[in-house]
Amino acid sequence: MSLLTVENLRTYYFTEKGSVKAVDGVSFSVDKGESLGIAGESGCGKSTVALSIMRLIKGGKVVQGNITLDGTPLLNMPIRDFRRIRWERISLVSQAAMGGLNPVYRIGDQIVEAITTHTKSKKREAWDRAEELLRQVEVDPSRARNYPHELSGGMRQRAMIAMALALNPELVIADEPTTALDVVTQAQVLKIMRGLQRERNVCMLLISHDLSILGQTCDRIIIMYAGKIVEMGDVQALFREPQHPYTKALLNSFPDIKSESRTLTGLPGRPPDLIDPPSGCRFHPRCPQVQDICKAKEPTMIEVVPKHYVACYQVQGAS
Amino acid sequence: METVLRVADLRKLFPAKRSSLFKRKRQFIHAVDGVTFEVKKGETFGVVGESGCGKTTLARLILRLVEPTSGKVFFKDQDITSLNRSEMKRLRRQMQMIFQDPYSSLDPRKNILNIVAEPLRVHNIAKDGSIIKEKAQEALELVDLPTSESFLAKVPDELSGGERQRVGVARVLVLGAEFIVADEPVSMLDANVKAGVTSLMMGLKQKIGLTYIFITHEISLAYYICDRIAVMYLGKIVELGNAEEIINLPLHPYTRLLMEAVPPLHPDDKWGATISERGELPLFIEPPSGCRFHPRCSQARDICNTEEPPLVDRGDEHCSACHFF
Repeated sequence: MSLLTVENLRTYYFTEKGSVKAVDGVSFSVDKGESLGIAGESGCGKSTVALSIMRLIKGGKVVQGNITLDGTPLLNMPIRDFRRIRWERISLVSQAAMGGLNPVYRIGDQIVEAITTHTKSKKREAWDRAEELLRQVEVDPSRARNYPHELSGGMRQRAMIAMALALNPELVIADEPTTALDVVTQAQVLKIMRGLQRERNVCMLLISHDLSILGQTCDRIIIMYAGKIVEMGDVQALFREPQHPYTKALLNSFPDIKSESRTLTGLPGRPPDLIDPPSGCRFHPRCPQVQDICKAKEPTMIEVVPKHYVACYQVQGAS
Repeated sequence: METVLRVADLRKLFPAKRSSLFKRKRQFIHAVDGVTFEVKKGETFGVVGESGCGKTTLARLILRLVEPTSGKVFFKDQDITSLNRSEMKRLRRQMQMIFQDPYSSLDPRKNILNIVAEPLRVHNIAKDGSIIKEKAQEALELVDLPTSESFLAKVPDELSGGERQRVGVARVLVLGAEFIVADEPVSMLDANVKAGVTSLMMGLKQKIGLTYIFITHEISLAYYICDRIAVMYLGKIVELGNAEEIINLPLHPYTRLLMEAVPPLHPDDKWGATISERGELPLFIEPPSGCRFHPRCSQARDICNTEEPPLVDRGDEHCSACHFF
């Protein structure tokens, strides 16, 4: 049963040079209790998808599409009503930085504020709940009395997760939650997130440029390129049998500590200009297997094997 | 093989802020604390560790961008810590640095030609405009960037992250530097761009015979490109050796922790089984007693708390600073 459905989402930003088609026809759904990853290089539109769901787009707007949460359409809902959905039903964990927490309030007070604004809880109860949440993310509850600058980067990020879980949301969106953290801390934070996600059976949308961490934390993965989904499938299939040339290129650019060959291959060229994107398949100017049809007509998503979708003529022709 | 760089017992202490006006003892942050190693000609020497381990300070010490508290740095048998300003400037033609952030290390108001040509002017290598341009174009060609007039006239804002970092490399090559310290040169780039820039750097090494010190927090990346790796923890080298050997047979518990933290590329492989208990890198002023890693080490015993383990060769120049491994 799907919890979140995104249908044909188009989100454009308006600049002096023209409209940037950051997300251009994206459809997917997330099941209850599922963890879905969205990967792609910077500028592919993955964060814009998250911001569109949260209705936090600035400098642009959703020009087309539907987003529903458990059947309720979100995009046309009056913003007053939507504010209740934010935090209570969908919460957001953003990039690890000072930005997400208010520097002049104690950690505990910030969690308490989130709880008391949305529920009828008394301050005392909310504080106890805040301490309990910190314990769950493996932060010493006495830290609730600390200010953000007194915590390390990893602890701050865990406090952000505690805050995101404060109201028992059904969906947590995490946008590059560990990008600014050290490798060891990153592994710790993601393990905690994955553990809590499974334990509470919440739905998670994890956005990252790092495919390897998505492989370890998600059930299913979406690969985006230039505002579109190019491949979607469960983790096993995607890592074992990547289909789209872009997915293959992405996978080849990660150093694998177990590999013996030790050669990294980059992808030549750069992501396209989204004001005037390439015709046909948007990946065609960089694709090593480009054919004539790729330049002329846009490929649609086709289920090549059950639950594994790819938008590529090469793959579809071969199957 | 000829030794290009030798670092001997290098130390850099930064004075820490006094926690109270009445505290008498001045405290110091031990950023780099007694580091010794050699780099051979044509080698890629990796320095790996988490933020705060002193790897960037080490890079800056090697190029003498900061003065060491004690210890020596020899570049081709010359002690650079004793050189005066003009001698050091002359030497910098041969030893250069590539910085981490391609967004802030390039002057946003200068065009690409001026950015790449600036070192030529600073070092008085060429004065004639057409020669300067020719040299800049040669350098850009080496890093696979266009040499057209329109590209030379661009400003950094018009370039992608990968292109900017290539400009950073070109700026180093224009001087004919042969020894390059690269401080996290690709950590801010997307994975595929990262792969492109690193393979370019490695190609250049073959093509024009460069020697690199490559500083990174990613041990997996170091494995791909380095001949030897030094793992640093709180200002000290804890393990040093051949890259393949370190990855296949890590000795020090800290190196093993770093390896465990790398997300495996295959979803079936287990990631970080014991990692959650190991805590974060402590913010420290005075380092822990004994082995600095002992508060986070799963194998720590009494001796680790009291005695500092020296860096000892365990065979085949694979060194580890641990009482047990």
